[in-house]
Amino acid sequence: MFFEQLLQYIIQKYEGQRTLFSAYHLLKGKKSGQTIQDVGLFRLQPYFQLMPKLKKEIYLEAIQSLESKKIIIVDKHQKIEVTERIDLEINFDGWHLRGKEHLFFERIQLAVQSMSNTLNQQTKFLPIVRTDEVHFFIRQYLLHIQFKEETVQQQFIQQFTQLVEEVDLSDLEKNIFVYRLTGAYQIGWTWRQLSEKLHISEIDVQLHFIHSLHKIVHFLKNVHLDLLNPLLHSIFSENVLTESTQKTIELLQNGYSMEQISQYRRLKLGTIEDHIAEYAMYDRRFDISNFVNDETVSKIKNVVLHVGNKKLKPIKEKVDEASYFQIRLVLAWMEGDSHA
Amino acid sequence: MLESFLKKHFGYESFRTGQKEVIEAVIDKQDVVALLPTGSGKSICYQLPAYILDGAVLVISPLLSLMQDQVEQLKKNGEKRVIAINSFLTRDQRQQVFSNLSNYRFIFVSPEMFSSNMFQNAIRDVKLSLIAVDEAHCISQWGFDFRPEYLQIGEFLNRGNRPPILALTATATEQVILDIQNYLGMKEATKWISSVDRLNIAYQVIRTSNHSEKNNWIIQHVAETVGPGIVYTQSRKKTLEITNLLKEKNVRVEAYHAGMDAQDRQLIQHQYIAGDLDWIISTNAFGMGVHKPDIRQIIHDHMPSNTASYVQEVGRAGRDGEQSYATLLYSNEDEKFTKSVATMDYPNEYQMEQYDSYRLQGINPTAMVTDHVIAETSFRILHYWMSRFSLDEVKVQIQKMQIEKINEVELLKNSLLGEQCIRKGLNRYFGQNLESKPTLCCSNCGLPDSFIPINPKELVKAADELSWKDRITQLFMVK
Repeated sequence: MFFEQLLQYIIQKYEGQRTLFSAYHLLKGKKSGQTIQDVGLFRLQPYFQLMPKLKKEIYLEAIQSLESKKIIIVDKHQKIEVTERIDLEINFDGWHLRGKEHLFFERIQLAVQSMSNTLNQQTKFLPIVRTDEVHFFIRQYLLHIQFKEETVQQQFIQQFTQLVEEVDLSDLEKNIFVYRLTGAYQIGWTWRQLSEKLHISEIDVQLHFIHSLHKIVHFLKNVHLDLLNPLLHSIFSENVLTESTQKTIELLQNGYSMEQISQYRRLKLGTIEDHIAEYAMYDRRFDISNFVNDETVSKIKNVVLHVGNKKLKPIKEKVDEASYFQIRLVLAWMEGDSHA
Repeated sequence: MLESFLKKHFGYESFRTGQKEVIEAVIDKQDVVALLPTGSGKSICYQLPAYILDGAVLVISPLLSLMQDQVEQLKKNGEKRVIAINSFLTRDQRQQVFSNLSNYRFIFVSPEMFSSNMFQNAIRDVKLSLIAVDEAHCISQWGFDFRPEYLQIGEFLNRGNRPPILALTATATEQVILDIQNYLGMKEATKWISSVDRLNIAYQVIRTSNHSEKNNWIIQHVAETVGPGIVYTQSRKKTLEITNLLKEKNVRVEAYHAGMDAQDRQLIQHQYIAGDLDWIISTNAFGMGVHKPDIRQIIHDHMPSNTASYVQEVGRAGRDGEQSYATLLYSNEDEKFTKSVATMDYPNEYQMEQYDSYRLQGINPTAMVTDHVIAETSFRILHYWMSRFSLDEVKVQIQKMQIEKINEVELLKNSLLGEQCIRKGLNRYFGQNLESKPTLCCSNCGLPDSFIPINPKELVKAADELSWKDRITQLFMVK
């Protein structure tokens, strides 16, 4: 249900202007111009790259279920629309986390397992996390917090307990988070085991889990718990631009033209346009007058504000002198992520 | 002397059969082929010399999971100078590792690495004391698990001076052992061949008439008899089907297959090792790197493709030396099914011809995989042969190999379903004679009724509600 509600909410935000797989690409975090621009256009930052491993079958299953309940309708152009609106008061932060919450979880998972084994005087144990990067990080972290000190161990337990107690989550989500963890004698539960116990689908368990992680990392960002705060290291993306976009912008700032960049980088001109539109959304101070003159900008703005339409074609019909790229650029710039 | 090193670095008091002999030969700079059963501590044979000899030990290992497991075991043991070079490393990481390669004591690599110039150059500058080739049977086309990349290893290793090679395998016929020596270019190799027989495992084969009879037998048997155990089945769907039926009987059981989330697979392995689960219902993906000494039963609901796989899977039982039990359920349609599975990975004639025509058109045949003309595993086999022989020769070769695979199925079927002692049949396959038979031998030699002990545990429904508060207390509880 939770996953279906999320889809319903996202589709609702698309205002009937996008197609069957738009929400899928959004949740997977597809780095195409269209998906990234839509993030700004429809204010979908919280859901971008929320589920990078989402399987197509699972997505389609949920869409079909929504369709059979007549909550959404798909028209003959594959445009998708909701028939009833919902208010989903759930805060995700996909845009700034970009899946990094899972790295955070691997860290806290290994930290808890290490602490639990240390408390039980077991110096050798099989790590539940297999990533070298995480092993290295936690080794440094444990040395840094001086995990062998008894007072530190007690504080760790106390801070961990405080975190779970105080974070704003339902008991269901607290359970999912805590039962995924492994200690010296308790092994974490699989999605299936949690799903059977809680009587909700596996995808819902996973989505609740992601939500709990988003809440927890934000909690730790704002609350001083000195033994847990270090686990957040580089979890939040400072720079939300794709690497390729960064390169294009760098060249642009060095005075190269779009055509030159396209040749130099061996990328299609359309891709370079995508990069520039992505950047315009990211940085509102970006001067778009190099690409589109002020008069055209205000014409496009007018159409959008009066007609309220975010589709390119109807705008193009009204402002014929503007190219599609220019329209996209203005839209992106207008709807830019002001808090990025 | 060697014992003191063993105690110091690994904490064991004494060697297990074969280990000392192999290590002595290695230290004496001899090439060695060692056939040691899985779970007999094969890895000590190259790990210990690393602390005695001067230089790094290069370990070539075919499976990423296996490599990862070995690396973890070493790290768990306090060894920090260990690195695994495989496709998981990013370009940058790889570059960094290559420039520091001589700082490591253990270097694990997958055989594919030998086709990388960067790796070849990096490894050339490292002083090696030993080259260990794990799962060495993969080098033989007649082995059940042939990997063409293994042939490159031999080509590379024998280009100049090289340290001794230690070839390790848990399963090899006499023919395969000859191939290992030839392809690795070993000179007068010392051989240590352990008996493949496991005296503490009793074998039984039960004939059934169909699938549902098998399922019923498994459900009833697993609920009533002793665990821990593994049920091997052929499909992902079946792992779930059997698991669900057993859960209804309150058996502590989970399904395991390669299609599951990687973290979940990890959790299930840990739960099984920790004793939270009594049974695993799995495809053949489960077992590699799972160190659990007290597995009592292995059940097959189908016949594996060859004797080596069967012996390997069954051999996961009873590593603690206690009496254990292997059951295989057979119905008549199984033979046909197993034969088709065994030959499934081979390219067909159409694919062979396509390879040729891609090449003639100047297209890189790798495109066949992306064009969905052929699966990747089949392509690797095809590519290996086509880049060495003509189309007609390859056709003959592949057909020969398929016939060989079908033979392998028949050999296993004869051992398991013939009139003779099953144990004897399995041993004969490896060219070994049976020295003695245990009292509980096999269903052909005769087994008493209910020879598998009943499950001493009561099957109870798992505990009630979840409580994160209680769970936190348990996570940090001191026992």
